[in-house]
Amino acid sequence: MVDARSVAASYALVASFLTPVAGTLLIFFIGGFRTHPAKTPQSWPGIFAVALSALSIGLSIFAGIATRNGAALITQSGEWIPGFGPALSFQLDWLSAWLLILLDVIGLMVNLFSIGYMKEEPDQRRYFGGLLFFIANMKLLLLAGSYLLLFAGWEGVGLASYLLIGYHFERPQAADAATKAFIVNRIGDAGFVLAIIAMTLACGSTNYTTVSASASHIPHGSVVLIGSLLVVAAVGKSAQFPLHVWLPDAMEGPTPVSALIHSATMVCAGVYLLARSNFLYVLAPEVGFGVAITGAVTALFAASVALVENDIKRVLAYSTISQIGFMFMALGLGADRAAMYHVATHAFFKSLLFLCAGSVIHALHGEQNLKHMGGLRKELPVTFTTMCVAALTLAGLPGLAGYFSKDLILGASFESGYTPLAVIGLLTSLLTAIYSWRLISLAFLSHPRRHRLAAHEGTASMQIPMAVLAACCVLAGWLFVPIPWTGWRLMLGSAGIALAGIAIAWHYYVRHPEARAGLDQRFGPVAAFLRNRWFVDAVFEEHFLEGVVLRTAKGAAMGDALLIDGSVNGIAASSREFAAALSWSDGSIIDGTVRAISGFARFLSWPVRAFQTGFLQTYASIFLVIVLAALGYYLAR
Amino acid sequence: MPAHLLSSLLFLPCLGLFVLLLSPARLNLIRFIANGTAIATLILSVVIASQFRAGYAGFQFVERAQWIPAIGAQYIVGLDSISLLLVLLTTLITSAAVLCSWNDVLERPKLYYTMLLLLETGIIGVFISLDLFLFYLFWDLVLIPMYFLIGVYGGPRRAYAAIKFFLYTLLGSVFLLLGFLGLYFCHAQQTGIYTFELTKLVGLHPGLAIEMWIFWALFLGFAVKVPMFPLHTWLPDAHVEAPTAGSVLLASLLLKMGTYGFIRFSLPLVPEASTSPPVVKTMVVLSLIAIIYGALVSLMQRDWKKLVAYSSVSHMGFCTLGIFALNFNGVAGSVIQQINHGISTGLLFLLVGFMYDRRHTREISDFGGLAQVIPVFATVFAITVFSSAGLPLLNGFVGEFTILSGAFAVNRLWALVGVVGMVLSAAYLLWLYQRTMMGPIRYDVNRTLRDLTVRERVIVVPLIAIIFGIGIYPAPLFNVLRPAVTALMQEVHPTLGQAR
Repeated sequence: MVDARSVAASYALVASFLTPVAGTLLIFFIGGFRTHPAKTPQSWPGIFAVALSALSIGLSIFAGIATRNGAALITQSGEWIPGFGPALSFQLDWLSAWLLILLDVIGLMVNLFSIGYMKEEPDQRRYFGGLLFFIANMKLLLLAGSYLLLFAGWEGVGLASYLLIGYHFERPQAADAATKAFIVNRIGDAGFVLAIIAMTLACGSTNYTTVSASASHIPHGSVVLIGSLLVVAAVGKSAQFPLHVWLPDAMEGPTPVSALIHSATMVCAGVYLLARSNFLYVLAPEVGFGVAITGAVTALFAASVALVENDIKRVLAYSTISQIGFMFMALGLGADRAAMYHVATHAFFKSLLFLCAGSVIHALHGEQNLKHMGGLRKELPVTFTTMCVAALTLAGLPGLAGYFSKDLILGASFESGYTPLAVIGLLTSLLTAIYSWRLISLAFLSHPRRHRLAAHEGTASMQIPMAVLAACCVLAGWLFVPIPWTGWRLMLGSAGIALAGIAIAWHYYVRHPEARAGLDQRFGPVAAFLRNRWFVDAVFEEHFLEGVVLRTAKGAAMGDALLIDGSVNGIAASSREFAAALSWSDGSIIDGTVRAISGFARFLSWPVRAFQTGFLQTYASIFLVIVLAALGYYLAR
Repeated sequence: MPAHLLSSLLFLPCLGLFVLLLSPARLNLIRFIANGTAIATLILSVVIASQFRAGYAGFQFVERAQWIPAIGAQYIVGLDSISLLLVLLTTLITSAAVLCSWNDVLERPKLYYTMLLLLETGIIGVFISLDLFLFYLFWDLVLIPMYFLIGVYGGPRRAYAAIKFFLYTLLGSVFLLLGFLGLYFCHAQQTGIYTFELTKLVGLHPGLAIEMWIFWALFLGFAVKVPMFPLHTWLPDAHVEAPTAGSVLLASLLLKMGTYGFIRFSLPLVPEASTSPPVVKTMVVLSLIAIIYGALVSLMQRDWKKLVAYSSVSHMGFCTLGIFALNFNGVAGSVIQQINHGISTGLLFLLVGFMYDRRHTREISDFGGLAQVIPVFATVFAITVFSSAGLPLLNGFVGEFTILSGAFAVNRLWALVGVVGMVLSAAYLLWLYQRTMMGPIRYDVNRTLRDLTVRERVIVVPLIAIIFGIGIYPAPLFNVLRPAVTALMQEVHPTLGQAR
């Protein structure tokens, strides 16, 4: 097996990981240790990042070719933390190669787009350094050959996400969103930590090969435990119900960051993790079923919320949550390849949607509210065309990439026999088609609803990535995977649903916008329920965060000050009071007794003492008086 | 190997102290002598580490001399890998603490630096004494300089904090002495020999009932120092009032004396009591309460320094949890966590101190948006925060993760509570970071803050390097610790020592 080709491929693999690592370091060290951002934006960090991304695509593809026969490329391993097996190793197989190349492609497009989008920003190094840092950690996540090393990348992308959401950290919302994203993710990470520990105790190592080989020999309870803990981790990172709350807020980050991290790559890490661990869910199908349920609920929930959101980026965020829910459903039903295929097509159309949204926001100088847009079709023709392609792909129009991958998932749900899941899948497809066309209608069609300056397309560096990704949306279904076949009935049915959804959106948002008022009246409570996002945010923030966590913390802090420190101070104070009392009693009772005794003696002695004056004259005169008296007595007698 | 290497290390700070006392009262000269002594001690400790034989479980560099023959007290010092790591931490952190005081203390500097150096001798003495009486001497010696550091150079409530610190820990150490005397007399009863020598007292087996009494006596001494819930309230007061160097030494080193005491004395001297279910249960429950409770109380603090102080309660809870998991991962993880906590929390206190030098306030609400003004400070602070929150590839993760795996092996529930603590630690640390470094600049005073000076960077850089070093390549730490911890586990509980 160890031939020259696979050795070369291993080197390419490591080089592909080291390229962004080196890039991250260089970008902060080139240009000296100047700590404050330059006064005028520099262009070199962006060009540097794009060049490195292009280089790393080449390396990734070269390494990926070695896995085309289904072979896995595993590099030599060593220990990272002793006791947890030889965790330091890379493993490239179809699963990771697929996502590695995808990551590099999207990464290149986003870096290129950012050159134009971020050109006014003064701190270019922090931005592009952050993107490269993210790509490096995402590669660590994908290439790791063990769960422990994967976890290092997992936390690394979380950190990168934190730093980039908080790129505009001076804005309070961005700072809030960054903190929230990290902490909510930490809940999932807690599950991951326990899963790694549990699998080390059960299998003696965290390497995929060892764990999957020994999974069938360990007790069923352990499999269920490890599998469930990994699901907790995936739910956090992939923003599934109920830990999705961080993702819509994460839209505070610059839009290209949302395109790369919060739609195409990082949030799909949970899907990757579960696909990587599918052997566990084969052994413990009950956990897999839980994954499917979580995915279905999330898909429906998020799609319904996306229907009523007005912030262009938040619509896309909820759409991302919903689409990942689809992937979870597929994973839970054992359709891993369908899920991974959907990861890829979703990466193309969702990153394109975000880049287009970025182009719109850029043209409108920061306006993100769909209700304030309208009529952009003529002013932004390139953005309009590419975004239409992306939205139709999302909606599942036949022939575009999203149609095929979604169909595979729907097919799997019908085959599984869980009809409710399949029905939820179809319903979600309908909602998806409606909100995607609603987005296009509100932004580009009809007339401007607010007075505004004329909008212009961005630079070529922004338009090229959009065009490339649009081409991917069209071609990905035909080029990369043999056309899946789920049967005529389903294919026609889902095509019909997509068209119906688009028609409904067309009706309510283009043809008869006035009809929406009647809709609102009739379904008032439902609309309110959706606008409040099923009250999940409210429950999470008001009841869980403020009601439980903060109240407990407040109670603990008060208890600490009053009860625990209070008793310490109380003991100190009472000892002091006791000492004071003793001191008083010492002075008045004990010493009082002594003084009383001495006083009594003194009292007894007073007649005698009266004579004890110490004056010689007194004694002499008393003596004289007595002598005279005595003399007088004798003389008188 | 030159003889008396360890004694030289122990008394080198004392030597510097005497030179300092005899030197003319010129500030720069005093600074020079103090820093020179601290650095020389650091270098000597590294020399000792380089001659340390890593694969060997017993004590090395052992020196012994008669001291008070009438009561059997001897001067015995020696190192195993656990004490070696803590000694290295001591010399490193003391150097940082001495250097960070450069501009802090302009009045009565001689007394101040004298106290710092005396403290260093005391702490090194605690970590290398192999005679219980000698240990106790150093244990109480540490109180005195710290009392003066807080009481003379502290903040507005320094008198209260200093007395609270002194009395609280003294009360604990009285019980410690009683425990030691109990062992001393048990040994005399069994063998007729009066000795305080640690290695002779090990393996005494005076029976579970007596062991229990001794354990709880030692517990009071050590638990106050750690500090374990609910004996912790001296800590926030002492930290808030102490000068920066005092806080750093307190958090990084003094707290470790407590956990070190459990590992070095409680476990091997009274193994039957230490492994008995009621003791283990109590210790673990107190540790878990400390982890969660310390984190929750941190969440509510308005004072930057007090927040970090309470975070110590939480992080030290991990250390005691690891010790009383009573397996290799638990104890080794605990030692590593002690080192990591020393580095990370020491750095957190240094940064608070740097900021206090600039703004003379520690109210979190007085800051905000500082990352715009002082990016280097903000970067260093971010690395420290993530290290403290246990992010992989930084040092904090290695210790906490290993401790959790040790705890998980005994009882899954313990590990579950532990990870909740990890989530909460991210919450209070990142919230602190957000409120101080991010958001808009709310006060104009903060617009003109100076970024880290050269001297401050010199202090910070080695600590940051260690944060990354331990995080990325922790294997040497484990390799160094393995013989000593394995031997300890066999002493404590032969069957448990074999497993994991």
